[in-house]
Amino acid sequence: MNEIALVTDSTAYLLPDEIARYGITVIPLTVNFDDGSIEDELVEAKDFFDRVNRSKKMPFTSQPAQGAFVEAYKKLLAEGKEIVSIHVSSRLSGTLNSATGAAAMVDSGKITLIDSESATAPLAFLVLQGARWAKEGIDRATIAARLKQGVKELGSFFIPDTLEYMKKGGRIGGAQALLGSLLQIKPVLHFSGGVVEVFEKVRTKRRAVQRMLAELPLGKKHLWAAVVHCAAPEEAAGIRELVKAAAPQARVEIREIGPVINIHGGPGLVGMGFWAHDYDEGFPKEGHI
Amino acid sequence: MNEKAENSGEPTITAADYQKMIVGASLFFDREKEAINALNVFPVPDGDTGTNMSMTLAAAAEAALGYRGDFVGEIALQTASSALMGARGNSGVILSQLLRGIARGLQDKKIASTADLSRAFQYGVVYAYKAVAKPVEGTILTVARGTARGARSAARSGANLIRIIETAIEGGREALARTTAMLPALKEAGVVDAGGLGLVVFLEGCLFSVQHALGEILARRKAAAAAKKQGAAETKAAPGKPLELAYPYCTELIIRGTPPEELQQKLAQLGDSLILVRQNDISKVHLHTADPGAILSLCAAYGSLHEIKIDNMADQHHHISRWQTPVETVIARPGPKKPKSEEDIGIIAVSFGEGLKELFLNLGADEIVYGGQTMNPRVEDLFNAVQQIPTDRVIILPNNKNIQMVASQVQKLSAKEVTVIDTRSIAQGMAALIAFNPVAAFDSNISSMEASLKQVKSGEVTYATRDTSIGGNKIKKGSFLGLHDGELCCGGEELAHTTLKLIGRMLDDDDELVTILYGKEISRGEAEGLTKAVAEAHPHLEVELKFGGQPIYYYILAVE
Repeated sequence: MNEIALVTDSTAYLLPDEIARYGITVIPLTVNFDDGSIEDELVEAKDFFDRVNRSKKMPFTSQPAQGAFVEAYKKLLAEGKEIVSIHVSSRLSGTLNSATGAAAMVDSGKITLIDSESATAPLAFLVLQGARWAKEGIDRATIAARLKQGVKELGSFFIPDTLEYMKKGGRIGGAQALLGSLLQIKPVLHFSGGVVEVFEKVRTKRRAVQRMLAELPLGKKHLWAAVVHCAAPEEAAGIRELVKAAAPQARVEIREIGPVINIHGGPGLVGMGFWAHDYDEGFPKEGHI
Repeated sequence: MNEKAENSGEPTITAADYQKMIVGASLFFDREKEAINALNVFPVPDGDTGTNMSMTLAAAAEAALGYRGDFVGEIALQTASSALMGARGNSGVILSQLLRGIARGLQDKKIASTADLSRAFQYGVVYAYKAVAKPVEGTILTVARGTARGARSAARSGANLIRIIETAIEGGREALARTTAMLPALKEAGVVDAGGLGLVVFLEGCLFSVQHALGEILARRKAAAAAKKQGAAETKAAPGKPLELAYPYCTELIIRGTPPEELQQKLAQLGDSLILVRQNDISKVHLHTADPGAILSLCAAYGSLHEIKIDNMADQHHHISRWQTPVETVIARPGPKKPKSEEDIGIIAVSFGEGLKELFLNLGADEIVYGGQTMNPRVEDLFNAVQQIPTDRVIILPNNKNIQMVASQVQKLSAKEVTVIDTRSIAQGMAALIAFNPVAAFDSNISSMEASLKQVKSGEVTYATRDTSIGGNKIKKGSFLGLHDGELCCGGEELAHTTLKLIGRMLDDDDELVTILYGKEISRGEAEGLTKAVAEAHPHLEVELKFGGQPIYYYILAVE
C-alpha cells in the first residue's frame, strides 16, 4: 500500500514542528497590500497589524493559485504517495476550488479532497489526526471517511474585540445588524455550515466568553479543544483554564491565528475550536488527555 | 335615530340609547379625567389613567356617532372595535374589553332587554379579566365585578335602563371603596384605584346621558370642544412644569432634488422632532426649530422647495403638552438596509426621543412607534405599524409596563404572528434588540430576547410630581428621583449627585458596563461630566454615553 501524505492550506496555522513531524504539505494563501504581498503564515500579529494600519487601502486576501497545488500534488505523487488534501471552508475561500482544479489536472485517482467547513484550530485537528492515521498505516478511504465524519463533529466560535475589521471584510452572515452599531456590542460568531454567522450578541466581553464556553460539549468522551487568539495570549490562557476546569477529560491547546483570518477578526480576537465525539474508533480509548 | 322616542323608562335598550350613552359618557368623562389623573400613586410623571381612558372613550364615541343603523348589538360591536383600536394604556385596554364583552352580550339584538344588558355586563367582566395576563384585585377589575353584580340585582326586578345603570354604579362605588385596602400602594397613598374610579365615572356618564336628550348632549359636546380650543394655551401651561418651547416653529417642506445624507445631521442640529423621508427625488422635511429661515436656506441649497408650511406651535391647539409630538413611524434610516421580506422577522419598538429612535433603528428595529412614559400609543398605532412591516412575523418591544397590554391586543387583532416581549424599560428594550439574531430561528430569538431581560438592570432619573418619601427620607415635589427597575430608589436636589447615587445602588460586584442615555433637557457637556464622575467613582466599570433625547427622564441607565 502506498504511503499517504496530508496536504492543507495556511489557514490551519499549524506549528513548524507539527508540519515537520508529519511531513505535512502546506499551501499558503496570500495577503495583498497595495505595496506588495505576503504569504499567509504565523507571524507576529502586532507587526502584521502595524502594516495593515499603515496601508492606505485595506489589504485583501487571495486563494492559492491552482499551479501551487499542481506542483505540490505532482511532487508527492512522484514520491509514490497518495494524498488527502483538507482545506478551509469552500464557502469562505476559493482555496478548495484551486485544489479541485489541480487534482483534476494531475488526474491520478490518488487524491481525496475534503472540505473542513472550518478554518484555524478545527482544520488543524483534522489534518493532524489524518496525518497520525496515515502514520499508523490506515488506508486512504478509511482516513477520508473518518475525517468526513469528523467535519460534522467540529465546533468553532470567535469573539472579535473590535468590529472594525469585520465591517471591511463583510464575510459574516447576519453581520449587518452589528455594523455601524451605536452601542458597544460583543458578538459571538461561529461556523455554521461552513459560513461564519452571528451566534449571539451581548454587550460585554466576559458575558461573550461565558456564552461561548457554554457551547462546549462537556459530556463528550473525546474532546479535543483549542483556545485560539490573535495577539491576546493572556486572555487565551485564562480561557484555557476555564475550559480545563469545565472539561477535565479534554485536551486543551492554545493556538494562534494568522494573517488571512486575522484581517477579518482583528487584533484581540479570542475563540475556541473543538472536535468532540463519543466513539473510540481510531482514537485512544482513554480519551484525549 | 334622533326622532326615536325616549324609552329610558322602558326595561329595554335601543341603538339610540346606546349611542347617546357612549357619546354622552365620553363627554362626561372628559371633564372628570383630571380628577382621575390626580390619583396617580407613584410620585413620578406617569401614563395618566384618566387621559388614557378618556382617549379610549373618545374613539368609542366617534364610532357611536357614526352609526346609522338601528341594531343595538351592531352599534355596541362597532363602538367596542373602535374603542379597542383607540385604546391607550392598560386601563384603556380593559375599558375597551368591557365594551367588547357588553357587545358580545347584546350580539344580534335589535332591541335588548335590561336583563340582556345585565348579562352583557357579566360578559364585560369576563372579557376584561381575559385581557389581563395576571389579574390583580383592587383594580378596575374588582370594580367591574361590582358593577356587574349591581346590574344583576336590578335586572331581576325588571328595572328600566336608568335603574340598571344606577345599581351598577352603586355596586361599582362599593367595590371601588374596597380597592384602597386591597393594594398596599393604594393604602399607603390613601386613595382608590384610578382605573376603577374611571369605570364608575364612565357609568355616571352613561346615566347622565340616558337622562338627557341626544340634542342636548351634542350641543354640550360642541361647546366643550370650543372651550377646549380657547383654553388650550392655558391648560397646556397649567399642570406640572411651565411650558417652554425651545423650538416653537413647526416647519414642513418638500425638496425636489437629491440632498446628500448629511442633510439629516445638519437639520438635526437646527431643531428637534426631525422627520426626513426620501423617495426618489422628493424629500419631505418636518422639524421643530427656533429659526425656520435657516431651515429654508439650508434646504434651498439642495433643490427647489415646495409646500412650505411654518406654524408657531404656541398657537396650535392639538399640541396638548410640550411632550407631545406627532406619531412618527417613518424616518430616514442611518444607513442602507436590505429590505425585509415576508419570511424575515420584523421588530417594532416603542420609544420617544430622536436619539433613542436612531439607537433602536440602528440596533435592528424596523419601525418605531412614538410613545413611552406619559404618552401611551393607541392599539391602532401599534396595529398599523405591524401591518406596515412586510414580514409575516413581528416582535413588539413595548419598553414600558403600561404599553404591554396595548401591544398584546395587537397580537389578537393581526393575522400576522405577533409576539410581545415584555420589555418594561428602554434598557430592557435595548437588551432584547441586541439579543436578536437575524440568522437565528424565531423561537430561539424569542427565548434569547426574553432571557436578555434578566441580564440588564434599568435605571431612570426623573422628577417628583409630588412630595413623597423614600425609606424615611422626605423628597420634595420637583426634586430629582432615581428609579431602579421601576422602583423608587433615591432622591435629591442635585441631578448629577442623584444619578451617581442611583448608579451606586444599582451596581453589583460583577457588573461591567453602564450605558447612559441622556435626555432632551441635558446638554452633551453636562452628560460628559456625569460620565467622567461615574468612571472616577467606579474605575473598574466601562461607561458608554449616548444621546437619547427623551423627555421625562433626564437620564436612562442600563447596568449589566
